[in-house]
Order: sequence, then structure tokens, then C-alpha cells
Amino acid sequence: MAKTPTGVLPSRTFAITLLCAVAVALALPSSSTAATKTARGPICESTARVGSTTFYSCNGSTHTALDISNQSCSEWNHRGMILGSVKYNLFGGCAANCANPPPNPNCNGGAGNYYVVNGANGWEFRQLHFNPSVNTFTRTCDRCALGLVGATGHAFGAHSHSDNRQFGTRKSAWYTSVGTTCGTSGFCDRVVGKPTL
Amino acid sequence: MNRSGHGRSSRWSGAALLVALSSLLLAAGPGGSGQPVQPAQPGAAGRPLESAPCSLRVMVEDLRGALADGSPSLQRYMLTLLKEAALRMPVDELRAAFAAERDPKVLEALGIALATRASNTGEPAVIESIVDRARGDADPALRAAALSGLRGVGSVEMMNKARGATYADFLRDPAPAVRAAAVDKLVHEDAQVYFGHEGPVSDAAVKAAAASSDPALAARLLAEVSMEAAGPESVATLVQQLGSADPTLRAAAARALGGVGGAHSETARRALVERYGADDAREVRVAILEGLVQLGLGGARPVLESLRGVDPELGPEIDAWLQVLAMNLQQWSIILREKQRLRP
Repeated sequence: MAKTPTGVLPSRTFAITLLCAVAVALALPSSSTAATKTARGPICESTARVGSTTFYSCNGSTHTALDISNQSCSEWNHRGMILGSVKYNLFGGCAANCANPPPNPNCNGGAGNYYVVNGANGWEFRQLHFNPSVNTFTRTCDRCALGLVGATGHAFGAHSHSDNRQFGTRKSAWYTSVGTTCGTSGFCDRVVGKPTL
Repeated sequence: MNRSGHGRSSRWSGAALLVALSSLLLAAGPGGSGQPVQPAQPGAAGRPLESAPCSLRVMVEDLRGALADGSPSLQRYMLTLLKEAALRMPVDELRAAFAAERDPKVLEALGIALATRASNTGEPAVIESIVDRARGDADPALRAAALSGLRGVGSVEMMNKARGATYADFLRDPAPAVRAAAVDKLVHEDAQVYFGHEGPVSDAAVKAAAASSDPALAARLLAEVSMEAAGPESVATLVQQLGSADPTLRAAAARALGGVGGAHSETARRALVERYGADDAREVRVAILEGLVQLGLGGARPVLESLRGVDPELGPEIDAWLQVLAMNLQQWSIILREKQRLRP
């Protein structure tokens, strides 16, 4: 059996090959001001799937964000997606909603209840549309429950919308760089993007 | 070969454990149920892997072996594996392992696992055992390692909620390693958890710097932790530190004042201008000029011109800043880079 360039013991060499089968994503350290983080799916249910990316349903009008749903509403936790502790700043105040079309589509400018992680140099990561729960408050945490998957604001059907913006402009490379597209799993142990913060 | 043993000689057991944990990590849902382990893949010598008990003790021993002589990739993997598995382990078992551990590297890894667990579940009390160990262990290396276990989480907020130990306490520790670990931790938390935006972290850094008897460490805190959201008490402390006996600390305080938010910018500007005339250390005056530019950007030109006569030797420094400001650059890091290009 070939040894790795680092010359580790055979059993450890084999252990390293197991990395390919493990959904353990490593956050990349960065010495620059803005850093690349790892984002996992926001729903800990295996049926969660990406429904929209750069275009709504991948063939509609411009969207430039990820919509992830497991076809449930106010049932599953909407979790923080960033791997590692970051501060999720809450912008709430919208009543829980599962109706389609939504009765209050303009709540918070259409974002509904949402969280913002403020990064460096104008970068931010947002998670939108959740229904409030006992876990809904501004907090610093690592993939914690932030609310329930919901449909507040301009949301036609309960889902989690996530985007990575710099100075208000949505970017797409954070999810295209890891191959996330419509149909990709949005399960909470799956990497769906590498946002800049 | 001992397939069920837990020591470092149990290489097969470790590899099989990885398979089990990999499956656990891949499949565990909200109820914690996982897929059955599939032991069909051949191992290093062509033997099929066997499932092994998924116990913290085995995992810690495998981590210990990896940290002793494993490759960097394996070490990183084992550290991550422990951290991820800790999210679903009984917290009392983790606490007990942390309390019993005597190897600094393993202790730090267990601390990181515990702290990640606390951050994930929103239970700040979980970190009490880490803070207690960092304050109370007789061995300075273990105190420092325990403190490093808080790396990567919002420890200032957690410590406020959990018990009330502060970073100022750690900066008063008699052991240099503990004080250095506290500074590393705060700098990392500011940059990687809050991206420089968290007032309580800035305030904790200023208080810790003020409590430190080591000017170099205090200067590092002030130079590397963002003061963007620092509160009025912190700004007042920074102004006081402009009068410190140590020129490196005075220079760091000057740069820190350059980074305070708009609400305190006038206070900072006045203090910097006053100190520029009173301080005869070149490195402090250079830092004051930088602080004034960061505070005012294009608006700093008049005050820079007004300081020309104070120290003619720094005329070229002022010229360099004015030249950079004329470029109308929009971002502080780019302004700094251009300044360093013109006049390092």
C-alpha cells in the first residue's frame, strides 16, 4: 500500500482515505481581513433539497441565493448554516406564516424574519423567511436552532433562503464553487457553500 | 492485534471507529439515529474493517496517538471528528474526560469539543468547567491549554452568562503562557467569530490590556483587536494609555484610538493631537498620525498639515499620508497598503 507523502503509519494512511466518505467540512483559516467560511444545510432532515440557486427553480428569473426546503412548515428547526461560532443578528417581528400566498409579503421588506452575520469589508451572510420559535433571538452560536422553517415575508412556500452579499450585492460563487444546484441536498451535515465573511 | 483495545497500539480499532463515526456524522438526524455501520471496506492490509464501540475513551486515545506522531492531516481530522461527535455525546462524559485529562494538547481538543457543544446547544454553563480549569489548575501549561479550548466560540459572551470570570483575570495570571493564551484567544475571537464588530469583545480586550503587567501583551491586544464598537469606558482607558510609560503600548493605544466608532471619534482625535505635541518617541508620533488618518480619512488633511511644525523629521511621513489620501481610496486596508508602499 502506498504511503502518503507525509509518511504516516499504514492504518492512519487508510484512515485519511476515509475522509472522502465523511461529511466533516473543515473551515479554511484565512489571514486576510475577510475569510472563507463553510456553510452547511439549514435543515436536519434528509429530504431537504435546494430548490433555487442563481435563478428561481434554476430556470426562472434572477435569484442569486439558495432556497432550501423539506416541504414542511413550522415543524423543523431552521439552523444557523455557518460552520463555527458566529453572531446571528436577528431582524424579526413578522408573525409565523405557512399560508401560500403569504398574507404579509412585505414584512421586513419581503425578507420576513431573518438573521444577518456581519463579516469584514461589507460582507454578510443572511438567512431569511423563518417562523419564530423560543430559539429566535440574536445570539452567537455554532449551527444552533434559530427558528422554524417558515414562510414569512415574500415567500411562496416555506423554505430557507440564504445569501452572501458584499455591500448589498448578492454573490453566487459561494455556492457554485462547491457545485450546489437545484436538487442538491440541503441536509445539515452537507456543505452547500463557502461564503465570504 | 488487539481489535477491541483502546490504546495507541490499537490501529485497527481506530480505523474501524472512524468508519462508525463517519456513518454517525453522515446519517444522524434530529433524533440521533444513524445508518448501520458498513464494515465491508478493506483496511490497510486488505482485511475487512470491523465495527468498534463508539466511545469517547477510544476516540480520545486515537486523538492522543494522532497528536503524538500522526500527519497534520490526520491530526486535523481527528480534532474535527472529536468536535463534531461531541455535539451528540453525553455532556457529563465530555466534562469527565476534560477533568481527567493531563496532556495539554488533548486537553485543548477536549475543551474545544466542549465549547463547541455549548455554542451549538446554547448552554453557556457547559464552559464553566473549562474556565475553572483555566483558572485553577496548578500546572500553567494545563491552564493555558484549557483556555485555548475556548478558541472559536463567543467566549466573552459565554463567560459573562456563565460565571463572571473575565479576560482581565487571565491577564493577571502569573504564568506567561496563560497570559499569552488569553491574548491569542481574544484576538482570534474578535477576528473569526465577530469580524471586528463586537463591542463586548473590544471592551474585554481593553480591560485585559489595562490589567496586564506585560506591556508587549497589552500592546498586542490593543493593536490587533478591533475598536470599532468599543464603548465610552474603553475609549477613556485608551486615552489614559496614551500616557503609558512604555512607548510600544502608547503607539498601540494611538492606533486603537484611530479605530474607534464615530460616536467617539472627536474624543479620540483631540487626545491624539494633544499627545502628538507631548510625546517625543518617534514610533508613537508615527502611530498617532496613522490613528488620525484612520479617524478622519480625507478629512484628516487639515490636522496633518497643522502638525507639520511639531516635528520636522516627520514631514515625509505626513507627505506620504497626504499623497495616499489624494488617491481617494475607499477601504482602510488598501489605504494602509498604499501608505506602506510609499513609506514602510
